[in-house]
Amino acid sequence: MKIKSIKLHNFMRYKDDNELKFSTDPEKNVTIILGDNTFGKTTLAQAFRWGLYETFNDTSYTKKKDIVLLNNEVIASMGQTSMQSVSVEIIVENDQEEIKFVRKANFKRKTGDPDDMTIKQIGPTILTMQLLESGVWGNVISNEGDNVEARKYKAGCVQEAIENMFPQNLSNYFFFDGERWNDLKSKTEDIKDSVDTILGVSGLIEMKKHLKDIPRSNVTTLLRGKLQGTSGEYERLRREISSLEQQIEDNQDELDKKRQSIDTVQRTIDSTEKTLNDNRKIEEDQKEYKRLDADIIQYEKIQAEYYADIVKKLSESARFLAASLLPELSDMLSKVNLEGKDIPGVTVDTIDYLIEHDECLCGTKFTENSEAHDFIISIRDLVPPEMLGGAAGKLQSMLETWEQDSLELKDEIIKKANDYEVSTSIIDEKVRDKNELERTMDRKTNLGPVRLQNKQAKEHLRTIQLAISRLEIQIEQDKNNKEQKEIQLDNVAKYDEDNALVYRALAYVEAMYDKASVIANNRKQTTLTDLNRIIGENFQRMFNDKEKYAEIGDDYKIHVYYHQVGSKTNYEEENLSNGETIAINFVFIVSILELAKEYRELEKENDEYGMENAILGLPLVLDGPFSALSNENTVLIANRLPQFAEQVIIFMLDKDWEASELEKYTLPEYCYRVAKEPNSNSSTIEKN
Amino acid sequence: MAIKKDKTIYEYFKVDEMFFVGNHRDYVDKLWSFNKIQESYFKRLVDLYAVAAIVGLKTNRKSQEVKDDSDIKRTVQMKQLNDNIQTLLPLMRLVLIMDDSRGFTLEQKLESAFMIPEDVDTYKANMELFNSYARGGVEYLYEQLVLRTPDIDDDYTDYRIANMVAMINNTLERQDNLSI
Repeated sequence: MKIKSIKLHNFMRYKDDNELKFSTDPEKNVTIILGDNTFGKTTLAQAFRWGLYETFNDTSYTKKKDIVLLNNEVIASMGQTSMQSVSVEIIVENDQEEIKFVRKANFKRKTGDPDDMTIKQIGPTILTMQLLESGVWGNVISNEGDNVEARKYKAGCVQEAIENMFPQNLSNYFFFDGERWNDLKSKTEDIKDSVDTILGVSGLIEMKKHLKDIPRSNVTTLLRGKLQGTSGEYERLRREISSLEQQIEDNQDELDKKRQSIDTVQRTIDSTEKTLNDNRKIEEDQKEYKRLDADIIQYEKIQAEYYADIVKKLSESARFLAASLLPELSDMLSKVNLEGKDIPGVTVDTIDYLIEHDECLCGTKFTENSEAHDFIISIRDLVPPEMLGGAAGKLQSMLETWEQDSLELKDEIIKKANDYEVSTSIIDEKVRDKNELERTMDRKTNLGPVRLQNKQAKEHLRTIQLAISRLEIQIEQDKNNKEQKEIQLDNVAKYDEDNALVYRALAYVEAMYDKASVIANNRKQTTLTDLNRIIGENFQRMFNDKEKYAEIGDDYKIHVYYHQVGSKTNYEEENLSNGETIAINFVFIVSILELAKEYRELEKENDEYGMENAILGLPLVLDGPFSALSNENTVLIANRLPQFAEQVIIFMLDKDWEASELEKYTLPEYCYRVAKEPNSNSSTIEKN
Repeated sequence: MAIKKDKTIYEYFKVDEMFFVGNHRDYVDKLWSFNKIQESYFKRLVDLYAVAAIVGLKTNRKSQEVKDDSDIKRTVQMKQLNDNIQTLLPLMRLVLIMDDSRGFTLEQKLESAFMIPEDVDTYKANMELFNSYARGGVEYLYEQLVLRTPDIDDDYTDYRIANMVAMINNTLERQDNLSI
C-alpha cells in the first residue's frame, strides 16, 4: 500500500490548491517535507486524518474542537452569501490498483458582520472514490450509496474501502506523531488487535468467527439449522442445542461486558497509580506529618506520666522531709533516757504519794538513804510522764525507718525530672520538624480517596477476573456439551438422506475452520517470540546498551529491563525519559513492520503459510518523529524505517533532516518545503 | 472524740477536719487541683497538708488563718486524715517537740508531744500549732513551686519540674527563728 499523492484545497493553512506527490520508488521510498515550527507541517498530517477518517488529533497548538477547516484568508474574502469548499484528495496505489479518495465540505459565514470570522458547514461532508481503469478515472462512487453499480457500491462502501487499506485502529502506527505518542493510552486488546491486523492474523480470526465462533449466526449453526429430523428424540436434542447456544451467547455477551469493564477498571488503576506516583512526595510528607503528630502526642503522654510520677513522689515527701530532722531530734533526745518502762497504772503522782507517806503499799518504810528509798526514786524516772523518753525513742526509730524508706526518693524525683526534660527536647524537636513540614508541604491535596479508589479498583479487577474465569469455564463446558449433543443429533439425523448435503457442507466448514485455527495458532504462538527477537535486535542496534534489554510483555507493551541491578536480575526500568519512550515506541513500530516484512517473504515462499496478501504493507507518515531524540538515535531509527515500511513520509525540521542521514533513501524531487510569507497566515508547499 | 473511763480524750486528726480558707485556700488551689494531677504539685490535699506542715516546721514558718468574705474553703477530709494518721501523728509529735514558740522545756515539749490531751484547750492549741505550720508551709510551697522563676543554671526547661527539684533539694536544712 502506497500513497501516491495528497491534494489540499483551502484546507486550514493551505489556501487554494496545494499538492504533494510521494515517492513510490521501491528503493528510495522516502518523501521529506521540511519546515520550521508553526509553518504548517502538522496541518499536513491532519489532512491525512481528515481525508481518510474525517477526524483530527489535538495538537500542541489547537484543540480538536477549535479546528477551523476553511482557510482563514478565504474566510476573510467571503461575502455573506458566498460559499467556499474545503477538500482533501488522496490517491492510493494498492498492487496494480489506483484509487482516488476525495473528502469535501462546503462552508458559509455565519453572520454578515465582517469582523465575525465564524463559519458554518453547509450540508454533509461528501466522501467519494474513483478507480483508475486503463489510465482513465472511472465513475465517481459516493459513500452515500445510490451509485451506478448499486449492488457493488452500497452506502458506506468508500469508508469501508479506506478501512480495508488503512484500518483506523492502526492509524496511530502509520500516522506517527512524535509529540503525541506518549499520550496514547493504548489498551492491550487494541495493541493485540493491531498486531494481529498488521501480521494478517485478523483475517483468519474473522474467518473463524464467521465459520463457527460467533454465537448463533455462524455458518455452522446456519447449516445445522437446515438438518431435518422427524423423531421426538431429534426435536428434543435440537431444543437442547438451541438452549445451549442461547446460554453460550448470553455468557459470551456477559464475558464481553466483563472484558470491556476490565479496561475501565484498569484505566482507573493506571490513573490513580499515576496520581499516587506523581504525588509521592506529598503523600510521604503527609504521612511524615501524621507520624510527627502521633509522636508528639505519644511523647506528651509519656511526659505527662513522668510528671505524674514526680507529683506522686513529691506527695510522699513528708516522711522524707521529716526524716531529715532526725539529727536534730537525736541531739535533743540525747538528754533524755529513752529506755522507759511502762508499769501499768503507776505514774509519777503514785510514786510521789508513796514517798510523801514514807511507806510502800506492801508496808516497807522509805527511810532516807535506805535501799527501798533509792529504788523508789529510780522507779520514779521510768514511769509516766518521765517514761515519755520511751515514746520519744520510738519516734526516733520511726524517723530512722522513714529515712531508710525514702533514701531513693530524691534520686527518683531527679531521674524522672531528667526523663521529663529529655522528652521535652524530643517533643520540641518534633514540633520544629512538624512546623517546618507544615510550611513546605502540600496539606490540601488529599490522596486518601485516590489510594482508596486504587485499592477498590484493584479489588474490583480481581472480582472481574474471577467472574471471567468462571464464565470462560462455563462457556467451555456448554460448548463441549453442545458438541456432545450435536454428535447425538447427528447419529439420529444421518440416516436421513436429505441431510447428506448439509453434512458435506458442514465437513467442509469444519475443515476450513481447523485449518484456519492451525495457522492462526501457529502465527500467534510465534508472533510474540518472533517479535521479541526482532525487538531485542532493534533495541540493541538503536540504543547500543549492554546493560538493558527490551521485551514485549503479555500486555503487548514494550518493557525495558536491566540484566542485573545489585542482586536482582531482569529488573524493570519504569522511569523512562520522554526521549527514551519515543525511541522505544519506534523500536516497536519498526519491529512490527520488520516482522510483517519477514512474514510477507515467508508467505510468498510457502502457499501453506496463510491467506494470500493478508499481511499489510503500510506506509509510514511521521510528524516530527525525531524532535525528542538524540542525533545518534535519530540516525539509527531513520535508517531502519525505509527498509521495512512500504513508503516513508516524514514532516521534520531541517536540523533533524541533516541528522537523520535519510538523503540516501530520498529522490531529490521528493523533498519539499513548507513555506510561509512573513505577512501571510497561509502556507504553501514548494520543492526544496 | 474518744471516751475512756469517765475521761474525754482528744486524739489528733480524729476529731476535726482541716480547712484552708482565705489566702491559704487560694495558694492551695494553685498547688493542688482535685483529680487533676497534671495541674497539681500534689496528688491529694492530705499529701499537701502533710508536706506543708513539715516544710513549715523545717523553714520555721507559721501562719495565722486569715478569713475572707468567701465561704469557699478547701477541706482535708476526715477519712483522708484518718487514713494518713501513721504519717500525720509522728509529724504532730515532731512539731510539738521541735517548736520553740511556746517557751517549753524539753520535758514539757515531750509531755505535750506524747500525752494525749485531756482537755479541749490543749488539744485545740496543739492542733492550731500544727496547722499554723501547715499554713506557713503552704505559703512557702506556693512561693517555691508557683512563684519561683527558675535560675539560668537550672537543668530543667519546664519551670514546674525545675521548682519541684529545687524544692526537694533546698528544704533539707532547717532554718531557725524565721517564724512570725
